[in-house]
Amino acid sequence: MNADSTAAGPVVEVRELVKDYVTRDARLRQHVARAVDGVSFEIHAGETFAIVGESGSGKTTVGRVLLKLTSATDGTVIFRGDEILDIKERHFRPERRHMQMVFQDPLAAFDPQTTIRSSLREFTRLSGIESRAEQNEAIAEAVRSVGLEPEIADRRPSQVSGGQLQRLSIARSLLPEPELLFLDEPTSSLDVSIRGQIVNLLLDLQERNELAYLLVAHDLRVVYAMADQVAVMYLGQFVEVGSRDQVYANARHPYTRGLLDAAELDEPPRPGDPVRLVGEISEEAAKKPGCRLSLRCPFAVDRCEEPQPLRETEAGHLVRCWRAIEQPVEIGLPSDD
Amino acid sequence: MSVVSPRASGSTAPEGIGRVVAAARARPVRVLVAVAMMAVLLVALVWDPEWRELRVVLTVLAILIAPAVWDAQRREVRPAVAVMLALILLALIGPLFTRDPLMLNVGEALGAPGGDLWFGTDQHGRDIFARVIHGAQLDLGVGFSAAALAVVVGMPLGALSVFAAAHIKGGGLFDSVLLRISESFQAFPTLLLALGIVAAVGPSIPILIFIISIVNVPVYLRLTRSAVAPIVNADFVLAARCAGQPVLRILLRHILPNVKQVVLAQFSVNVAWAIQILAALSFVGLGVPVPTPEWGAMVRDGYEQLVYGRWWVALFPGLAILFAVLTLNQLSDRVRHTT
Repeated sequence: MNADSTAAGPVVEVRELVKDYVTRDARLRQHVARAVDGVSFEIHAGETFAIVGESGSGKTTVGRVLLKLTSATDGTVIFRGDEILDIKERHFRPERRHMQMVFQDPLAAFDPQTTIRSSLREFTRLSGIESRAEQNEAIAEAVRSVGLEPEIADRRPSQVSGGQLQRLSIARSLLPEPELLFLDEPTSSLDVSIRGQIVNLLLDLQERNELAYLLVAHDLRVVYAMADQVAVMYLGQFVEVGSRDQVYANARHPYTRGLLDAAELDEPPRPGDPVRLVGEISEEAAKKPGCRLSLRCPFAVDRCEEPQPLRETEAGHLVRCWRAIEQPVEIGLPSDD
Repeated sequence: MSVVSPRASGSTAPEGIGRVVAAARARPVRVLVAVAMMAVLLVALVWDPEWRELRVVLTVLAILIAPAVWDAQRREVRPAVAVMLALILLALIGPLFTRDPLMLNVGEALGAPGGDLWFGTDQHGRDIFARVIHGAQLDLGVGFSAAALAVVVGMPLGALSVFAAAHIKGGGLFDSVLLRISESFQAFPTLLLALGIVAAVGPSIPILIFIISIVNVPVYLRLTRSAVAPIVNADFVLAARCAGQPVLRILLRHILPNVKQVVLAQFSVNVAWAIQILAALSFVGLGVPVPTPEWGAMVRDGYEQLVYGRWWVALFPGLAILFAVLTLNQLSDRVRHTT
């Protein structure tokens, strides 16, 4: 997508990732729900790749598969040059230090029964620090790097505020010095007044440590502030992928435009009329061959029921909608010419 | 809850043995009390070879629950734990100071309470007070042993079965098989199952403990299972996996500590329940062998006397059962409501 950003290869490369959840009902019949359906992207060092979409679109599942916290059904993930999906957990465990995660709800991400320090200590072992004194030193340094006093680590998770705890969660994820950080809605459980601080902290840390971020969020302001690349996900598929400015200022897919218009962002300005989506996300739509949005899309016509591939509209900007590419004027977009 | 707990030590805290010594220096009274208690318990352990195993169980239990009496963070459970501890200590060292509970004295048979015989005597002239105190050892000992055995077997099995279903391949099958087995155990009425086994094998203390625990294993299995299920995929478990921890360690360090509250609450109820089963078995004559002082057996001996107005024979052991059960229920209730 953007091969020119760095000379070295990407930190992580995902190809045609598929994840099915199989459940059985009372009669032991199998039900397959495809949470992720053929997703591909890559992230370079120092770059943020954001996935946006409604709840249930499968965006968190992408991150979890990437970190091998859940198995994949198909596809490949190449991390630091190696295919990792087929590695057994036992052999993969030492590699975990290179990829870490920041959770949506910091209170749920810490064991309520232990102090924050002991939670952090577990992560220092990953980078091979065995002596207690050195571990404490590493913890103190990590806690300072997120702007807190080291003493706070002796409290329990319930004894610090949500914003502080999210900082500690970030400190914890950085302890093993990872190259890739999966940020799963890192600000959505926080007060609006705290969100900006956390975003700035994350940007700061990224710059300092050349971190690759996979950001999953539905707060479009946070994504605009952090992302280099943005993918819009709907029912397991990317419907639009591009640089941040391509997606925000020049959104082509009706779903992307619906999300942006619903968020009432002031900037960047978007051409065309606001698009209003109707109804709600429904997993039934993921089973049909054509466009999965067609039931909610104001521009849907018969041809939308044919399979829709991701197509390039401009360099690095992919859209999964034939009308947006072939009939932009009809759906309220300025003509490409 | 916004203040730092006074126990929290900074990064300068001493480590290992040094930490224990420092803690001991800070609270000399507690150390003294603890040492005194250990000495008392040691005496209780060696004085009589009979029921020594039961006294070991009670001693271990006393040592385990004693710290909760001081724990300021668990203010709600302190009174109930203190009463329970007093009851256990009474059961351990009380028998040292009473008369012989087995000594027959037909001349004094069915004497009313009064004078030296606080609780009166039974139809064989035995001192009921001595028998109630000695019975405490047996009832509490069997009750705790049976409940502890059930926890030790049921809790890890329950936790493992859910955890395996969620994080280990093929764990779902293990989970279902275990559940079906425990269901088939639970299909029998508890007392009927116990009666059947005792009738087949014959009553003895180890058999009684085994039976009472085996009917309780499914209770813990299901309880732990349902307590673990909501946290088995919690974010902090995922975080522990991100930290590269093996599954067994996650289970022991992160999952079990988070369900101990629920299991502990059930444990107290279960001891009470075990005492009741033992009493019920003794009442129908399938409990402990005859001359042994046991509360349930004493109630059975006494209830024939009730019609003649000799209330004391059944009342005092009955009150002992009531008191122990109420204390345990209270304890369970308080534990459940602490966070």
